[in-house]
Amino acid sequence: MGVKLDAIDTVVAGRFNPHIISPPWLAKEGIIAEGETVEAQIGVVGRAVVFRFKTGDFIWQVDYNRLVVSAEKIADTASVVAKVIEKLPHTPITAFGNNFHYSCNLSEWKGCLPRLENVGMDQLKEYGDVQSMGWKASISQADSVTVNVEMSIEPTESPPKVSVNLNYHRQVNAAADLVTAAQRFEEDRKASATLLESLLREKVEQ
Amino acid sequence: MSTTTIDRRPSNTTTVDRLAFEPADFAVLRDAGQESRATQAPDTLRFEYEVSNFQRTVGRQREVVRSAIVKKIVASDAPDEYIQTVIDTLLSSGRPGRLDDAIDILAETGRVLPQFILETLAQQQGTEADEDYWYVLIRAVGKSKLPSARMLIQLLWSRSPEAAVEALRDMGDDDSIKRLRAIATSEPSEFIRQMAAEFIEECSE
Repeated sequence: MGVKLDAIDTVVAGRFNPHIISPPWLAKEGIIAEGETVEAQIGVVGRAVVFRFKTGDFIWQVDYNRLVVSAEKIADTASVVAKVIEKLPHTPITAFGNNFHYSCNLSEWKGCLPRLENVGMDQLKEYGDVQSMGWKASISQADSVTVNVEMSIEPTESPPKVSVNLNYHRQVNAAADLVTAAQRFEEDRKASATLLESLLREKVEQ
Repeated sequence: MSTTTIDRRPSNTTTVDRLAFEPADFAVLRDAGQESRATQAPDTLRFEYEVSNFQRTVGRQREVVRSAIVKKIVASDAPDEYIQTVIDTLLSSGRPGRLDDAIDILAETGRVLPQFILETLAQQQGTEADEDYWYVLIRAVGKSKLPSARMLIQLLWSRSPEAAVEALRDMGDDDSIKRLRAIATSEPSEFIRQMAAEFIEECSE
């Protein structure tokens, strides 16, 4: 078994009212099915004001600065987010991003891993128990997309794990821009797999 | 200035030495700054999944997952956010044992726990109404048996006297027993006095 896509998140940065984007409102607007099972996971606890709930395959997280829709399988989280913004077109938004999280056990990873000159895991171990090692890059592409790649190795996980997160970030200032960007979800997903295979030389398991 | 190299060895090699590639491989590479990362999933989002999954694990696997969660908190650049995530995720889960799960994790986080508590108090957040929130923190302090534990329990007494008495029992050392004796005789609340008396009896058995 090689690396697998194990989670997807679509994130919108802007100004949100978590009291509006709630399961009853989503049902009323037809974004989730009426009567769909809702598992509320987080309300207002302690310091944080974050509303988190699960509807079907999607996990929602809404706070005053961000709307996040996640799935732990291949599901178009971007189109769900787009439906919300279409219903709230005057929401001030600044950016939209699709995130693809790949991971696998270190023993199964056959591709490249981060390394600084001649400093690798073996050298770090001389100084103590290596908790994690990582690498990140931000790539500005011609079509106004910034691809943020983050790779980390966590040797203390059991079993030791490699994770690669690819974020396809776009600046958006209006609902219509976001809807257009959301339509590129599948394109982004395929691009993330291609990047993993061509750059890191690790084949993505279907 | 150091340089990085691309290792072109076949992809089926497994040594750590093959782990290099260089920025020049990208058509365009730039540090786009914080702004372009605004839509990355929050660091703690994946961590939330791990904490949620922890509640579903059993036996040896449970120990392994708990240990991994603790390591992540301690190694994090922002342990406060991770501690907050543990508390939020577990307390809001509604699952039986959620308070004990949170206490067990936080008790193992060492020095970051007092820092988190002092920071929370300084920000005047975590209100009196968040009874479970403070219950978990106070009990975790007691279980941690850190040098500053008794001072913190005293500091947090008004947030949850019940948790504070239990935390003193968890500490179980001579000074904590002495404090429990004082509580058993002088505390205005009969319920708290009784709790303290029971714990003293337990400890002397």
